[in-house]
Amino acid sequence: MIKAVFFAIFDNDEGPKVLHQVPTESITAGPSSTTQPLIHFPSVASFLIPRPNFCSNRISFTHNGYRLLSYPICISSSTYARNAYLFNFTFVLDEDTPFASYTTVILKLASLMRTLEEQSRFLSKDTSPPNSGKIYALCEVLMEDLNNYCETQIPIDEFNTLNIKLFPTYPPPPPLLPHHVPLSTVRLADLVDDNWDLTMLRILPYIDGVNSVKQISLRADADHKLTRKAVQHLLYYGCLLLLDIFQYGAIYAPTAEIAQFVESPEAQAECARYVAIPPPEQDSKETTTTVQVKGLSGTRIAELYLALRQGLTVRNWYLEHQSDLSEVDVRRFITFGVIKGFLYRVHKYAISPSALKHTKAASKKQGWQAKSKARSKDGTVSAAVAELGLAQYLDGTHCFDEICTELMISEKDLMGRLKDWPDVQIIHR
Amino acid sequence: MSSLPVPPNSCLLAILLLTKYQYDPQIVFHYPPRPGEDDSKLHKYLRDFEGAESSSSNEDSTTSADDQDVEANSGVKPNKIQPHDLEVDETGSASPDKRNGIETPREHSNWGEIFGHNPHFLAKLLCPAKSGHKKRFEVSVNDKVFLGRPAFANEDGEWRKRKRKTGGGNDERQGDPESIQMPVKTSVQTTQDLSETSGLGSDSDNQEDGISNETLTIKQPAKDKANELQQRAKHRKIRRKDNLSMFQVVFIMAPPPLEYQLRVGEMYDYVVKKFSRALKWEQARSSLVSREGLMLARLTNSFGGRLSGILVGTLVKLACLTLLGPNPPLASLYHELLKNSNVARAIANVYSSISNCRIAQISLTPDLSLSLKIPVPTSTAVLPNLISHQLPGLWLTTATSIPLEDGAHFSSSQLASHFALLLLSDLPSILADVQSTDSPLAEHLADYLNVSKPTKSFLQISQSSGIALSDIQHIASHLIYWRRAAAIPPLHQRDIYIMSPNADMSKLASASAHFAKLYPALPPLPKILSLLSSTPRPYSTLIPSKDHKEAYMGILAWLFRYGWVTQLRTFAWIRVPPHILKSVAGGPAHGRNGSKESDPSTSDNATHLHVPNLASSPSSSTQSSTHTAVPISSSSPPTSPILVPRPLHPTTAASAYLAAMSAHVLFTQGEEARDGWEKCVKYFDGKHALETIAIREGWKRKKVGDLVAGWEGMGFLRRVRHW
Repeated sequence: MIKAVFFAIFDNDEGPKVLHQVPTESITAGPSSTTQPLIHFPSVASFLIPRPNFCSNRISFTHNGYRLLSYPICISSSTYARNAYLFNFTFVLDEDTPFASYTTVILKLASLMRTLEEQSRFLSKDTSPPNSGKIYALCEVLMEDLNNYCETQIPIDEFNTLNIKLFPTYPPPPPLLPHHVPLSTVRLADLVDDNWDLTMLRILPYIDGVNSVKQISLRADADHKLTRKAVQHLLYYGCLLLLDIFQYGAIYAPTAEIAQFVESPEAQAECARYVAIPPPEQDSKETTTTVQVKGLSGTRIAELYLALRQGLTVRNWYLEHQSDLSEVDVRRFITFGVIKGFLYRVHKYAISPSALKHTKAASKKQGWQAKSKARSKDGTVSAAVAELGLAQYLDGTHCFDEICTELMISEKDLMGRLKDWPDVQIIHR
Repeated sequence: MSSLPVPPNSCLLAILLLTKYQYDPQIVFHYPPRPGEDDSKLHKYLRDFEGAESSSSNEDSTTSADDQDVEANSGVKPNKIQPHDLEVDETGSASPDKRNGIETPREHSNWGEIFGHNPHFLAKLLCPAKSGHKKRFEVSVNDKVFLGRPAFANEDGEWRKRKRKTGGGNDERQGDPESIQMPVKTSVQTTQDLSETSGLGSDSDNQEDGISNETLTIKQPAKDKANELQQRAKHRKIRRKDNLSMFQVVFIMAPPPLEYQLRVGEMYDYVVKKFSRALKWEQARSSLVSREGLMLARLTNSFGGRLSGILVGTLVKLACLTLLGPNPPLASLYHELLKNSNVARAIANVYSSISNCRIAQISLTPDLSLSLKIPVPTSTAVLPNLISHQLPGLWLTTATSIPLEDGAHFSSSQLASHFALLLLSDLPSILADVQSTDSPLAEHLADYLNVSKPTKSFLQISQSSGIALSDIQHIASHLIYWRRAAAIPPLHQRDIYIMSPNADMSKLASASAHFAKLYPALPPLPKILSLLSSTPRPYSTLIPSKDHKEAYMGILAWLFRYGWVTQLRTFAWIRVPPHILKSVAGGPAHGRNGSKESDPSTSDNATHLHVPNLASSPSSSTQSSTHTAVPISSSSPPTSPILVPRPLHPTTAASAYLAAMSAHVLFTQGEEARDGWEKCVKYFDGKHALETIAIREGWKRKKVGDLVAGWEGMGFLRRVRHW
């Protein structure tokens, strides 16, 4: 939330001076004022109206519990009384507000104002008394719109319009691997418009929390690289979660967060809604139905989760609790725990020191060619190169899901092929 | 969900010292010499110098274990100059031409500018209004943050407050209202003395709890009061002459936008504030900053004076000099500055330590030394998912976070005595470091290190070795502060360890090689990890024979040290079975027990359930046993079992259930078990690891195991294992 917006200039007679401020008397207050200004302007004037050397720089600072974001501009021209005009539009935020998204806005505002001033002396010609006139109105609309709508469009004159939008800053998306399973957190179909990327449109129907990235690209007949980019894009905007490939042979175990689930009846109720198998007449994709699993209490659900552990596959767990799970979608049951962070997938890794040496030697001998060939998974590749393809995954950084997805083989096949390496060790992590 | 730890990154680019005497503020010193540029050669040279200086002030072992790792990996060891080298260096051949390894690139036209800013104007920008006295000063120009904490002289130009209590040499401390936290520890005077002179730094005094990070020791030698007054008068004279009115140490950082608040906040709280306070304190006491500020300015000027007569600002001059000078004058200038000024040396030291995420150990005057560090995460309870930030290799555990609502009223220090010390690098290297410092504490440290075992708690070691527990905890906190060790629950062969889901798999190849070298007679690392990663079971099942026990416990410590394994700890909730629910609802109903036949869905392999040892019955967490099993059929809601979330503060209904269960335990298992139940109820809240019950209650592990297994068999407990 912006606390205040103000416009300050270097006055040739009075020095740094606040001309317009929203809300009024938030920055400088008259002697009769009853309100306390947010900041003490004289002590920060040197940052807001700095020496010309520091103009055209983003200058922000903290003062009195607030953070002031500004971009002072100095225009040199013989038309001005002292051959220069120095002005600054400043936003006042709370000190601990994340401000990354405002910095670009400040920059854009300042450069537009600079242009307007250079074109038509928009700022310096405005002689309206403090807190009135065009510039004041602009500050007012700016603050209100950004606070309420995060964007604004202010027509300034017949040629110029100020278009501003606050874009949130997100961390870069995590690395995406072919075996990751994207699950949408929003209804992506509702967001689509004609301008969307073609690959994106193609792959959207296949993003369902079941298909891995690789499968999506295969099913949608889309290029793998482009698919990955599209998914990463959605990830960046937080529209997706990443899961693992659900299999009955997989192992899941509780994390320390399980305690919160056990003690929260609300979370258990949410889970019950999510995992219930809807009556057959309804489409299984409709998740909004308020079906409850009959007779499965929240405590029972928690107990079922508590029964998962390292070394126990979903299959065996299911066999132990079959009667309770008759009306439960097991995949959704597991995924719910993974999404909420109280379950984690215990991945399998294969490690073979001899395979590692083999890869190193082979890659040295044959260079990149062999490796890229092996990666292409062409059916005609010789057995030796294909084995090399497997060998490169045996260093402990590639889980079974990844190897199986990359090589497009089943886990059973993989186990069979691993027998070629006598020193292979399987690690669950 | 607690927040995920972020990788250590100081984002520190440079440190400036800004002083204001009578007129304009001036940047009298900054480090590194050429901020923002790659000056590795110059920096390396200076670091050698700096290293030599600091080793003379007993700083040798400040480099933490992980730094050593880093250095070992990169193959670059800072060659610390031995004291005798240094003498040669300073007296005989300290001429600049000896250092022609450091070439000054001449193509830099913007020399003397600090990140593109004229130092003179930058100094003005960084000089705050007086209202900023002792407040956080934070100005950012584009992506660089200038962070400081300015200090101003009093109205009369004095740095010391007038008001003073009468007293001995202590008064100056009281005189300064913001007196730096003095070592609070008053108990073990001897160890404190030892630590002050120890090679591991003089500052574990207030580290007992591991929370306070400020470590500062001020030696107050028994000076004569007269002597001191005399000194003070002398200083006052100097002060009148130089009239330092403001100084500020400014840290320049470039944090990523998303981590801005975190990084800047950490730097301010842990480094800027403490360093500035120390300088202010020392300025008030001995005019350190005003003296050295003048000296630094003079030295810099004298270097530039030969070339430039116009007084613009030291760094502009420095710029001209560097551009025109035939020799690498910057190197010799910095050599001079670092040699002559404690403040400059301290700034350089803080920069190189903090920017490398190490602990800075500095001494401003012989009487005042302090250490600064930005804490790094040592453990996390949260396993990152695929989207969140990853910090692999971090110890995954909840053992380090003691539940807030600790029903046992167990003070953390009491519990701390049941922790064990895990060394984070190998014993010989730590011992070598300790011995090289040749301090009186070294012997104690070595004694303790030789008896310390990660399998024995502090208390046990104290009992077996005769070293006082407080001493052990003192030494241990010392080692932990310097990142040489971590406190862990003692390793025990009957506990369950698994391969940590947070292990850093990318290091597996190098770790395997390391492991093979250390333990050539044992199975290779992948094999061990494979054994540890199947169905969880007590560690003892891995040990082939009694003779192997020691070696295998050694491996376990090694695996722990590098984050390969974590302990699976057991947590439990009280489960109110249907028959208790019914009996509470409709009067006593003890006769119902056992009369029910077991539901096929809930019965489990009963043989597992009656293994008395808690730790060896991993599958017992699955279902209730047959002997009291009641149909937990998913039909009638009133009879379906419930879990009691907060047994220490139960609801009315829950306390009725608890009473009924207690009565049931008495009825079926006898009085002793009932007493046990009453005592244990508070631990069955899903937050207390059952492994700690034995320690907290002073029982045998077996007793706890038997009791818990019994109750679980009755369907009174629901267990889960996580870290």
